[in-house]
Amino acid sequence: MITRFIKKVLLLISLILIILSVFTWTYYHQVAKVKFGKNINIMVCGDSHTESAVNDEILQHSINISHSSEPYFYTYNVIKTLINNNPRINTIIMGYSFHSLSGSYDVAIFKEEFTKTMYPDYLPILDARSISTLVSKNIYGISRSIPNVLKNMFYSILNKPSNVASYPFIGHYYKSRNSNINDSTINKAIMRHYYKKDSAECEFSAIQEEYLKQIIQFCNNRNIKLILLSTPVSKGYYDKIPIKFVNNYYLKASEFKQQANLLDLHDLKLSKECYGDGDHINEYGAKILTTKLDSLLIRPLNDLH
Amino acid sequence: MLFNSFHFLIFFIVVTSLYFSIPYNKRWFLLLASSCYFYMAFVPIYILILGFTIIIDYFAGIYIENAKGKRRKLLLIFSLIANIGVLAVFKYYNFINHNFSFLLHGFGLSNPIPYLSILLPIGLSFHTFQAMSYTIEVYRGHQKAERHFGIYSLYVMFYPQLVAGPIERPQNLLHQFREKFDFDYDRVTSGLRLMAWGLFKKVVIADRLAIAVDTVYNNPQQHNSLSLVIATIFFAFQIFCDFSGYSDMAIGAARIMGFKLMANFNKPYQSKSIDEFWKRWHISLSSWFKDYLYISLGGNRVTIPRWYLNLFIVFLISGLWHGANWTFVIWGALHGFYLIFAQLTKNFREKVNKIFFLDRVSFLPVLVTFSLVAFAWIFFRANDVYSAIYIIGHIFTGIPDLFHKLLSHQPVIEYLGLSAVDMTLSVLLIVILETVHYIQSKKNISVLFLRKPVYIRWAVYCGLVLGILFFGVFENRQFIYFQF
Repeated sequence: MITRFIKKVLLLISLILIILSVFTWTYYHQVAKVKFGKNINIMVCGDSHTESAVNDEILQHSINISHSSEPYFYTYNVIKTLINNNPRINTIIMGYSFHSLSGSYDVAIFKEEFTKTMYPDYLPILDARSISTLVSKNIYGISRSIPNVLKNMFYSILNKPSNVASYPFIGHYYKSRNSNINDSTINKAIMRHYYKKDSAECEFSAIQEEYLKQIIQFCNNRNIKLILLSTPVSKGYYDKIPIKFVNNYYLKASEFKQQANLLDLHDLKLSKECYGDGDHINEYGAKILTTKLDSLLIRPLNDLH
Repeated sequence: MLFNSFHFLIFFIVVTSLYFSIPYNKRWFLLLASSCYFYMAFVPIYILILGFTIIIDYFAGIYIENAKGKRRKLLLIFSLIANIGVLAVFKYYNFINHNFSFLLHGFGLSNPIPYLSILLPIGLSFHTFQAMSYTIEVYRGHQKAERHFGIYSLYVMFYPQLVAGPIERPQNLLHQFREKFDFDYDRVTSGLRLMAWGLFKKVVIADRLAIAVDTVYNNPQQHNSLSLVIATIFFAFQIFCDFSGYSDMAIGAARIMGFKLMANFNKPYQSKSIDEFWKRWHISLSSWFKDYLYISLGGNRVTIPRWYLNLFIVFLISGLWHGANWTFVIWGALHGFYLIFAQLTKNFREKVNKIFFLDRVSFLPVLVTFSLVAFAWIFFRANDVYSAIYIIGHIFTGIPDLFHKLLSHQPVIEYLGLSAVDMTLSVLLIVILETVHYIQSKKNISVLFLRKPVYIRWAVYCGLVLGILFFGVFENRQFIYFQF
């Protein structure tokens, strides 16, 4: 009787797995077709800094796919997935800021408060190496997120998104007119970016640096211009950044100088009204920055500084 | 460990497989050990509280059985005080202290008694009531005292019903731990079907509705009267699917291993009166109150005013059982009031129904009962009494504004935290749920289902699993009744 039961359970599981495989195959088939508009050759990616700073309606021939809190670990996989389908992309503008190599990003990759929302968005597009990194460090988080991964795939298939931003791993320009720059928002951002929960300073993130290198390598191999964009931050925020992160920011930028260009606009002169909070600019700030970016990009990259 | 978690899935597979692989006489130990692990997955240290009540009631049971005369009663009182004492400290101490402070504040005094900074042990009211029913039944002579400490502990701790019931009686459950249950294909598959249906109700219906309910109830001032009504109706179905979903999973998990737990719900929203509602909603608790409190107070074999008082006391305490908050007390009192009012106006209502032929409209009593129950749920769900009063006030006073908006072609349906697809799906799921209940009230749906061809049954199984995967809300939301 037990054998009969086990056989039937296995049969049911197989049937469900077959159905799920069909869904997964359809999803990958659909993702493989994600194409930007024909006139797009600049892709802007990164975290909330570029998400709020680069208005792709102003920057000609561009699309902003930045995603709030996105570590390079995911950005690398997003770039890889999208570049394969969009060979016309010849320039990538990617966020690079003082917090980009902070260990605080490890939390976004491995800790539950982030992974429960991020895994379902990104797991389906991760390459084997990235998946094995997650499996080795957070198998429990992965197993927990499987239902949401399947759900995201299912909704993507049902929606057949015509708009590329409908895919959960593709972000978009975040337009906001809010201006809430004060000590409280600045301190919150500083704590989030550079300090652990116990108020100790964060270490540098080895995984962020590794994936930054991989992105640089990938762009070089594909002959894609990579611009590391440091978006404006308020003086109040800048002054509170622990010095080791400022030093490391310049150190790494000079290390990668040959393969990637740093467009350092962190100290761009902007009025208080142009900031959403201490480290993000709002719609007004984005207009100024993107207009500047647009004018800079038509010049040879060597003249950027 | 939540029933709707991956952790539980692994736990359940391992425990059930081991259960059928080991000798009968060792199974109690496996179940006890796994129940300890299950409970300790929440807050490990609270196992000590459970241990305390188990030891007290175990010895109380034996001593009560051996004692004679007044000593029996004294021992029972001692055991009840110990159980209620644990409840009082962990559940009601801060509530009482807070109200005491409020009272003293009225006289311009401050309260010197400190608050306790403790988390409420999960499912405390459930296992305490189950433990109390044991000593009461031993005292009444309906149950022999259990001499096997492990089996008695298992009676209190049996993991499927440990944290949210059904609150079992010793006569029904204790003897089952000594029975030899073989693997029975039909019983196991029936248990699995019940678990899957329970999980569907929890993650697909309850947790989806919870998004809209939380959006509105956490900020009622931000929403119009239509949204308040929608959220209240949604909450009525959310709490039903949440709790009955848990009960189904508990009953299903126990059934797979051979245990029969009592039914906890019987299509409550098809009730034609509040009295009937309480015979269909949380049956294990309402029957507990009936057997151990209502009848002890004299039930209905007393004068009419005293009978009404008994009813009111039972519902007031039932409200307090749910939580140490005035919202729950008012919720209980409202139900008590409904029942008394129903008794007082019984003859009058019957006459009116006959005159206006209302007794021929079969759905009317169902609708009225549901409306009354949903109205009371406002207090149950509201974050505090002020919010509840605000919601009730604005449900009615907002109607003219709503009509005004409708007439001036302004949108009246608000964003309740759900997408348009999810909102439609929520309504559709409620309709499906009540359709299933309607069919159940006419025919035995399990028998009907098993008569269907194999391909239909398998399509339903696949659909149920895929429905849970694709439409489930996996945010590890706790079951509402865990907090009680």
